[in-house]
Amino acid sequence: MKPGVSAPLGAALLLALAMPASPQGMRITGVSTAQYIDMRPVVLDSVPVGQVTGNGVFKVSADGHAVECTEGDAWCRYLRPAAVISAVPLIQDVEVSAWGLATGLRAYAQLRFRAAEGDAARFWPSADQAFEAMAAYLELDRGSVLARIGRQWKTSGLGFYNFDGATLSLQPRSWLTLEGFGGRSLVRGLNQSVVSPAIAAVEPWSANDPDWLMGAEIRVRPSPRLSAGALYQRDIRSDAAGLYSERVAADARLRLGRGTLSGNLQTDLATGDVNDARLRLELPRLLGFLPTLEARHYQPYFELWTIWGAFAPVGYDEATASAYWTDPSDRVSLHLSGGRRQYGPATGGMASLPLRNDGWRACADATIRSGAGWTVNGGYAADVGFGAARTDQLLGVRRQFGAGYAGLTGMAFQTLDEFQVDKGRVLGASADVGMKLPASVRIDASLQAYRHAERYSGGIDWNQLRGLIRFEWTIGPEPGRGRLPGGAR
Amino acid sequence: MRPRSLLVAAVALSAVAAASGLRAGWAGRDTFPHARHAGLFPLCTGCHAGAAGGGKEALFPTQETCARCHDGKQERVVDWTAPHSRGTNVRFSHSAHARDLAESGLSADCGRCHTADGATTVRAAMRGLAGAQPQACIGCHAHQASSHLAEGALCRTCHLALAQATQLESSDIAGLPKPAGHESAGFVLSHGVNAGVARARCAICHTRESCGRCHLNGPSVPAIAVLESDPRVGALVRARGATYPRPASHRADWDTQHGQAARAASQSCANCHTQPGCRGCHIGEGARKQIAALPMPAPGGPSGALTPGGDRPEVRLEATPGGKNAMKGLAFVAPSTARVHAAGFADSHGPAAASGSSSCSSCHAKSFCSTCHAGSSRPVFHPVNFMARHGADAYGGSRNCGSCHNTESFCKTCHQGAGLSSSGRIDVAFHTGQPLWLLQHGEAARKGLEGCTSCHKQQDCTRCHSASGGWGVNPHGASFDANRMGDRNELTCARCHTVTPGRIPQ
Repeated sequence: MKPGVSAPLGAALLLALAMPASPQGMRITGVSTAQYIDMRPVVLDSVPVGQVTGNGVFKVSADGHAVECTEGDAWCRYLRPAAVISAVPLIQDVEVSAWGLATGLRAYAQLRFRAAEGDAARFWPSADQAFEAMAAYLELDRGSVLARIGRQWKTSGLGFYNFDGATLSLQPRSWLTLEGFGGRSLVRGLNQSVVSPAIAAVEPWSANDPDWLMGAEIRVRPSPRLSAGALYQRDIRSDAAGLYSERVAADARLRLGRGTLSGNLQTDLATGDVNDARLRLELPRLLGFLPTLEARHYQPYFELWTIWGAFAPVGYDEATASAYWTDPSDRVSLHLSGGRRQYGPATGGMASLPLRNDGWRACADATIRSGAGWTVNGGYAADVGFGAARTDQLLGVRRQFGAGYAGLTGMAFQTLDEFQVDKGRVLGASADVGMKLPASVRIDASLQAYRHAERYSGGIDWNQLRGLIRFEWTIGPEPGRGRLPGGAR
Repeated sequence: MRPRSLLVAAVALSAVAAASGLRAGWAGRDTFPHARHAGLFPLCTGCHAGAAGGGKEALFPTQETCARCHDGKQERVVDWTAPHSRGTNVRFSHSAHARDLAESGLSADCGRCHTADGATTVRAAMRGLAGAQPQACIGCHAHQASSHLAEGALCRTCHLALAQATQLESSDIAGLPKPAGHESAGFVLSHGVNAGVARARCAICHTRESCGRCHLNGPSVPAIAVLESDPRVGALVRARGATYPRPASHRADWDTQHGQAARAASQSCANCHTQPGCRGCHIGEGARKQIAALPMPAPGGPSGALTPGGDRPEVRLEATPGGKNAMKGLAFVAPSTARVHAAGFADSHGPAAASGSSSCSSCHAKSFCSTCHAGSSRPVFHPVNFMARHGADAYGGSRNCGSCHNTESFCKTCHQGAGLSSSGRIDVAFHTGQPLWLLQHGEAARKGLEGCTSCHKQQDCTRCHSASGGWGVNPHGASFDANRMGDRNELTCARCHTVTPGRIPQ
């Protein structure tokens, strides 16, 4: 489907086919989001060799910037902060569900409209894409048979895949579901073909051919305690000369008494690597705590239209423990967690210049709720590892006023990117309000201000202001219902 | 049987009725000094003539009857009035009982029911006259229980159904005795079993409105539907709230595990739950059939059992309840989050969703996934100002960014706009924090390749790492299987190698 024309026309056609006529119905939900973001990009600059001091490749400019000087070059280069830009991305989502053409037949569309004010047009992802049909399909649901045709997405153990095509799901037994799907593949988060100009603009070696996504999945639930699923999926080049991906996912969940054991596996058949393997044990309440233990192996995955997979990325193994506690009245809750990860052996480095080979995370947060609608939430989190590190502190208070709320939050976080994008200690404060209005209307707004207390280049104002306002409304009833309740979304 | 016996029996049974609070009986204590008149009247029916014929107007003597002796000359004038009649639900006929007893050859002496010792002579009976007790009925009737209000009692033998007892006042109905079994903790949850087989017994004290106090699906429950309606009861139950104790089956994780039970017996759910109650969570496409089978609450009627979000309009179900973004950066936890899922479920829901353990679509619309998985319209997944914080998450792979975002279209576009993308040179000042970066970058790339690809183009690497156009530096690890990858897409290899079909360069 050609983006920009075919998709909206198709969506409009689907919806027109189901214009309300008893007992037909339509439900439309709209979400309007406007953000304001202060940003300060960085730009590549240069300074004459004569104006820098120091020895070797890396020197320092007169105003304190670290610069890189290549031997024989008259200029040293460095990244410096550019002028502040103000981005105002505007997003309008419209979700439409129309039914009543025939038993179980439904038309569904999730459409996104974008506009960009200020510098958002050149900065914000997909800001130049004014319209995007995230989903637009016809669905036939006849109990044990479900079919979809149109633009849709497949959520599975492999993540979130978009495609223009068809899905057929069968449930021959109450415990067994079989599903097959296929169609023209779309780039995740982009809803465009892999050969689209959007990819080519940032990656000259983009894919040569569009691709087809197809897969089959089985899910079984032989007992209320056990469920399992497996998925095989491949991306085939349209010239059938090769694959862009071939992956398998397996997921299972088993209830053991009052505990739960779950696991998932993602494997890339093109490399033989296990990209994500996770085993998670949720234990019964112990001394008032609900403990969870998890073991995980992670290794990034890359599609075969890039060469990245040939660079043999290594992953890490991680063990995590967490516990959740709440008092009987659910007024006070506490969450503690911690984990440690260890990377596999990565050849290519130098023993005399070792890089960090492990990492750890820890978090503690607590929430206290009063009967009068007050909530206080505070916590600390740290994530220290290869490549980057961060610590977070947060303390907030919020008051519920019937169907509305208002809150103030203070936060501080410190980031450190090991490979020198930036480091900074940031103090922030935010105020947020929200209100659920009659007729299924909801409005939320927040304003955040951040003070960058430390940055790698002094004298530059990195402070930031961010704002968001979000307006949500719903028209129409749920299928089979005469009116929309106040609490429905 | 002699006529006298019949009369005696009738009088006796009349007394039973009076003691039981019959509509034609005593309203309270016996104010007539029967013992002092014991030697005076040979027959009970001398005064209680109605007991023989069944006419209530003649059941008690009148003032004129007393005045025949208490005329101020023979005896002092007395002021005695017959007990006023009171509404009752007793199904009783003196004459019928007298006839039945006579046909059975049994004595119908009044004292059989109206004395504690069952005296058979009028004199003895009048000396020991007492209010007739239900036990007297039980003594003859085939009552299956040992006492009046016991479980298993055949109530309708002596009692009218409540809806038919039209002379009962609301206060009488409110004061009806409650069997001891009804007080037990589990009675509310288990009464349905008995109600199904003992509808007639329930109807003695209950009408459709009694059940409707809690049951919203009354018309569809046979045991309730057969009950008659009665506005007196309706007015009474409106003043009482509904009671919904939590069944044992509703374990702690019931909120997320009730699907199969609901599919198997949605009518059972309908006893306590309503459509709005379920739709507080089930805002999606699934469970439509089961929910549609549930009742809608009537205006002013019970609202059904409390559900996590259904009855609390202020509750907003959040995508990431409890411990949101814990470990990965903090975010304020919404105060009214309904804890449908366990803490951390936002990060661990993959297996549950992919294996079908939880029927996601029962609660979530398809678009709900896209709340987090498809863009920034609803920024609830990442903590606030994630743009400034995401470095550690991206390097740590804690969220598996690639599940939702494409490195080229998402990361690189933004980094390019911010000036962070590679411009093709390898000697720029980006990695200035690492003076010997060139020597370290190999290991760094292996460990954090996703980070590299968020800024660098492929050609940045093939300037060196290419067999055909670069310096020929081999980027492949020891375990790299060239054939495996080449079998799937030779063009990947051809970026750096001259490929002969069927032969993958090493």
